[in-house]
Amino acid sequence: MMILRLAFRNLLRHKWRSALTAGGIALAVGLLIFLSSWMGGMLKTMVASATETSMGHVLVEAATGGDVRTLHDVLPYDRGALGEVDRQSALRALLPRLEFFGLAGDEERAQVVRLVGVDPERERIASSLAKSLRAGVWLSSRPRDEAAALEAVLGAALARQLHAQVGDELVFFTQAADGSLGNDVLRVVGVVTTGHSVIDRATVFVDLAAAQELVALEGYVHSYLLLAEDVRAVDDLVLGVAPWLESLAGPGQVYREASSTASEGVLVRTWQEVAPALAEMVALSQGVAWLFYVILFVLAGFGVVNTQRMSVLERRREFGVLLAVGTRPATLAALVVAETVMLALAGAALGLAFGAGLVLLVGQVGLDLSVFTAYEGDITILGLQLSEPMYTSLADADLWTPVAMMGGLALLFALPAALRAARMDAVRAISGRT
Amino acid sequence: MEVEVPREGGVAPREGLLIEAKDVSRVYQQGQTQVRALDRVSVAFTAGEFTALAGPSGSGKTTLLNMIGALDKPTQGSVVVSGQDVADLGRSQAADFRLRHVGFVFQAYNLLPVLTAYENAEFTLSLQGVPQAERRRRVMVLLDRVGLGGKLDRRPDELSGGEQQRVAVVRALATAPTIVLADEPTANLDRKTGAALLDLMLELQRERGTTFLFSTHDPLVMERARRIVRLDSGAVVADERTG
Amino acid sequence: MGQGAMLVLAWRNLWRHRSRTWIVGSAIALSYALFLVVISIEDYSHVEMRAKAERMVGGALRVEGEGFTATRALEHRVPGGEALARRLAEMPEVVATRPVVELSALLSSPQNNAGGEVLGADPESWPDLLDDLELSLGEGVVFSPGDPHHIALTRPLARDLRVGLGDRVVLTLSDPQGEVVRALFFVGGLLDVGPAGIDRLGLLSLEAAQLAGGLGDAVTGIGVQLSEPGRRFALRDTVAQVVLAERPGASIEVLTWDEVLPELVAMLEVDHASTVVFLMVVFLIVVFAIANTMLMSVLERVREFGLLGAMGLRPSALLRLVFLEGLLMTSAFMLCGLVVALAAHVAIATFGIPVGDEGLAFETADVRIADTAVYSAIVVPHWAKASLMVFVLSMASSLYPAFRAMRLEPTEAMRTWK
Repeated sequence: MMILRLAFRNLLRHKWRSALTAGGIALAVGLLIFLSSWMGGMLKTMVASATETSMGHVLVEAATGGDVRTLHDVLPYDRGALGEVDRQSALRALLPRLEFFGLAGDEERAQVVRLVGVDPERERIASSLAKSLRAGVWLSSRPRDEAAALEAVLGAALARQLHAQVGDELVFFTQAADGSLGNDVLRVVGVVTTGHSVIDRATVFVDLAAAQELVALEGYVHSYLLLAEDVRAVDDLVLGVAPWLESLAGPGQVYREASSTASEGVLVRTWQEVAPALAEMVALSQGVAWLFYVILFVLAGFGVVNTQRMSVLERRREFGVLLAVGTRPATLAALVVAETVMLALAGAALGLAFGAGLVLLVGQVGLDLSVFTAYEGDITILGLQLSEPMYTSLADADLWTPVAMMGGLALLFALPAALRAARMDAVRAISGRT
Repeated sequence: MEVEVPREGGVAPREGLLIEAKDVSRVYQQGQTQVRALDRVSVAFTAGEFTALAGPSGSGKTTLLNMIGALDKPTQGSVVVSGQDVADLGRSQAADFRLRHVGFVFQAYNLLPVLTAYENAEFTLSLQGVPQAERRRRVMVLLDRVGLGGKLDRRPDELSGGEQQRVAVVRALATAPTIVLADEPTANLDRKTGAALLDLMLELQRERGTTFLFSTHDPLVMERARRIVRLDSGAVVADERTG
Repeated sequence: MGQGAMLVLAWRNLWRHRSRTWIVGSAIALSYALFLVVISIEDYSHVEMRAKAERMVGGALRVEGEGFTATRALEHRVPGGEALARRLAEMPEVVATRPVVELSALLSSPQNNAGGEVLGADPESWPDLLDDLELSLGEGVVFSPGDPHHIALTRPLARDLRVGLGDRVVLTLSDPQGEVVRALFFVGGLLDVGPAGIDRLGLLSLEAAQLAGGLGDAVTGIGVQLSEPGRRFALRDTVAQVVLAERPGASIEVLTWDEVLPELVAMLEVDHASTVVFLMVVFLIVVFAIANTMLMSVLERVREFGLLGAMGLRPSALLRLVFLEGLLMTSAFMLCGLVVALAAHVAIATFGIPVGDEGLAFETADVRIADTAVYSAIVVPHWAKASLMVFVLSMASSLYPAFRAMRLEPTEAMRTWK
């Protein structure tokens, strides 16, 4: 492997130059690794946030013939039967939900709110709601003491608007399913901030049983949120719970198309079908990421191409001598290619260390984007909390694509110089005439 | 011959002496070894000389020439040129000194490849801040004198070796320096061209009285030199007047 | 040495290896152009969002009861709203005023309940109301003067409630005293929602809204359109003084639209800043290429620099020469990049870049834009800042090579060819 040894030593001849060229590549690779981790983490958070708090990976609702769900579009709820479904291996969590609108407040002020009845224990284990508490505690799973107020967890912006703190009591009114006026006294036990304005500004979480009683829908829910063990294997999940889905609606009445016009039975949709804008944003981000891969590598490539071309020019006499003593042009070209690839791989290796290091650093220290603005409140965009520091993780990072791409592109970058080396005229090169 | 008036801050030279090197040594590091380029050399030159420093490679002649031109400083001893001890000069001051007092002609690569013959020739005058009209006057006189009046706009790669050296000579003389230092100026030229160049330099020396010091082992130079100082292994071994 | 002569020397030195200079120069030009284009694409949506926010708020300024934005409670109201609005409209800096009543109410129909925003507005003071809210009339009429029970609903809201023209809708809300009150309405109009309109909205006449909310002659806000919206922060005090004169003792405040929607402004700031930081880091890659090229060009001219030193060029002048080469290269190619960026801007601003069927939905603080294509907008201070950063970074990369050139000892330089 004479060529490799020669290539390596040639690179060492000009330490500064090789270092700078490799440095440019390292920066590009490192940047891409960090970026992939950053964006990957952001997207993951946004999707997880949306799916865990509002729609699950799979959303099961009553079919409504394409219309928006009303109070009366319900599914049967059998607490005991759910235990059987839980055993499905593809299922990470099953969350029943009942929701309806009402007014909440006190003598001074009242707000329109969305009341959501949840199973406190299931939510505590599986969804990110319980983890989004800013004050107080999550709903307890103890059976309700008849005389006491109903435990409630509020969205933070809603709590602010109602001037309600943990421990305060609120009155809640709604129109029940049987036409009567439902009401109850709520006691705020916790406040959450999820980054979703629907929740933070307008939602109150209470125990499911109490909600069912409040709105006269005992034994029913509006939706089931299914969370999958593996986000990519959602179809397996649906297959696995098919028997239970049939039990909810009757055989042949489980519909999987989002555009289904069935008005009886059960509608099952994936999160991408429920929130196509979000799904498209994820796809768009990935497309943009690829675009940046290309741009960054082209920029790094400029440095490599230039360096190698000049390097060949400088060694004209040397190459001329080599040709004169019988080296084949293809061998000279191979030498240049070997140098370029080595340079690129060295840079990529450095970049890998740099990128991974940066990801770990930001994973520890966090990056607080809110320094760019004087605003002190919450800043949310599509479920992402920008007013809190963001942490990156290696698990989200794409480590190998940048490295592999660089290695591959190095071959391309080597071409101009390699061709020049191969096409050299020995006599002219030795005499120094151009 | 002129008597040099002592310059500010300098040592008054002995009468008539332009350059005085006293007990000069120059030692430098080359990898692991120490090289003694000059070993306690003492030699002096007066104004108007046309002198060759001769000797084999490594004898120290280039080193001595560099010191006289304030390009280098002795490790020991003193080199006084035009009343100025070169050791006292900082880098910027040395550059200024060279600009005003010294002209250089090197073996090769004398000219800036991106400038034309004329632009190369007037370069040092331009550095001195001489106005354009005056520059043109002085340079054209010299360029015509050396026979290059018609090749003003040629770049160095369009001139022959001999022509390039002639442009270098014009540039060296254009500022009317006290000394012209030529380091193997004929080494890259064929015999005939080299002889022509040296004859030209000899004539110019007689016309202007500028001191010419050569570092060389070319017999063509020795034939024309009026004094030959021979060096070997960093020491002066002979000092002959020949004409 | 004359500046002109040095400039000539520097420029010619730059072009000794033409393809080398062109390659690095293209890197500079293209990455600079990229910088500018990315910023201007982002700025387009930001500018759009700001404009939309201002339209939604009703103007550059908003007069409200103190604390209304935070709580949306009717107790924080502006008494004598219409009269005050008329008075403010007389001010020379004011183009128009729009008194509005915003109610957060529960809407109920026999089939369903839905939470929604209900807006009471005066079509005479806000003729472009539908356009500003990105709505259009589908069926029926928007306003029915004199009818206190007329309401127009957006179609999504009507669907939620399972109502059509003529059906009943009951509004339940709490009045300024905190009492829960109900008001009866009949659906008199259905509104179609544009891609970024508020999809669940009810429209009432100002009087009907005041009646339903028990507000008397008060309103919840007055949008103030200025002839110079850019000066809104300064004009805010002028308007506040008039308000104080007209309603002494009332707790009323004058906010800029930025203050009504601070979350939006903050998000835009963060977005922009992080984009700029990212692009600068990307440009660092080009900095390496520049440094490399300049270093190569210095090192291959070691002999020549020695010669220049021998001739009497001071070390500081050598530094200047190399620096000047860097300056010329940077300036020339940044200029090229600017031309490319301007051309790209014109192309994108005219034709747009399609981004899929769902469009790119940006929503924050309830301001939503949904474009199916992105366009480009030049915000001059942003371009100026970006150009400065690119320039400084490029020049910084020629610093080390320039210092290397300066530190060469002439003899050492010339010994290289012995």
